[in-house]
Amino acid sequence: MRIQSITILLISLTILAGCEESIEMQASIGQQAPPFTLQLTDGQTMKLDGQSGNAKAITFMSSWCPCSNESIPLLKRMHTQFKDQDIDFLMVGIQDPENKFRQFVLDYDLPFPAGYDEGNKIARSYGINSPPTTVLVDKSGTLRRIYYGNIKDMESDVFTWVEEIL
Amino acid sequence: MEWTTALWGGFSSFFSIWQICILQISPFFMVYILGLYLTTDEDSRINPGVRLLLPPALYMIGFSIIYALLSARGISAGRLLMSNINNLRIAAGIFIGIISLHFVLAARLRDMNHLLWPIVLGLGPLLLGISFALIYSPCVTPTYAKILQMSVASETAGQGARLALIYGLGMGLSFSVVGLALIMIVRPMPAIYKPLLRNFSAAVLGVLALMNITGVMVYYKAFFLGLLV
Repeated sequence: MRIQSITILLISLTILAGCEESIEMQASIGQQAPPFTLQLTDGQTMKLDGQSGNAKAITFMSSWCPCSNESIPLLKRMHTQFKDQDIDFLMVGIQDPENKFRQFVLDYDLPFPAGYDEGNKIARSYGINSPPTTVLVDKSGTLRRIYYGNIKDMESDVFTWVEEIL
Repeated sequence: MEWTTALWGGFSSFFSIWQICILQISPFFMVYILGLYLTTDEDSRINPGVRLLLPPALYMIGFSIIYALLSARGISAGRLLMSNINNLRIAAGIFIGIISLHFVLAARLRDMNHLLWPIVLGLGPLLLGISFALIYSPCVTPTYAKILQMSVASETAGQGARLALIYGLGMGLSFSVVGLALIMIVRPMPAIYKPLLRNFSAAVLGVLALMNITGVMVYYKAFFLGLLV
């Protein structure tokens, strides 16, 4: 009886969970960056639509990830250094409960926009499975670089990469 | 990068600060390997060496193949897996749930376990390795970061995938070594406690299955791993 109950519970949960839509991984270095629209934590919306405009420095982060936490001071320095140039900074919360990510953004007092990636859809379209990952898109909307991992000790590299896309 | 560097990088991550991140799967592997051992413990007809060594070996193979493919974003198989990762995680959760049920039913299925030992000790650990690779959000250690940089560019994706395979084997090896050590500790335990431990393993795997089927695994990561950040 107990086994039947567990089996029924598993099947019911599976049906309830349902299937999610497949998100095609589109990101390739040197190709157009996958477009997306993201609802920001301040209620605004940010769009990356493949049209020319500002360059983008996008970081995919999770509140629970030590490397994400350690990367933030450098991201703030990057923002201070380049904020008056043609570049938008954005943090995307992935693999996190939304409330945890919102608190994380508040705790670190981010000086640039952040938004929560519901269902990790944007991350999947960029082929990102782990935080932190930093993505650089140039002014023409071309994906120039994806860097996986902690950037805390990479100040000169990261600053050079940003200068390359400006 | 040398293959030995990748192997050591994967192996040593288990015994380093990166264990914080590996906590996503490491406790679940330990209860699995213990539960599986206790499920076939009383069956003297299965070679003890096979019973002890085959499951971790096949787990390592399953884990590292999918780990490598998920790392290789520059090749089509990796992109396909990444595109469907959420549904694959649900499927992995269902399989882990079946393993959990098997542990619960172990005492009733003694003869079946003996007849179907290649499935219980072979296919099961192989599929569990695949499942764990799917549900795991890899820790981007310095060595793994270098491998990922290779894997993302199409011209070096093959080399990146090979190194990711070796890195995954290194991780699997560390899991196996610790799992085998745990079995050695549990082995002399009085027989009366063994069903309790097996049922505990089943319960823990059942929780992992539910977390992945319902998509609340992120709360486990955020809560438990967040405590350590």
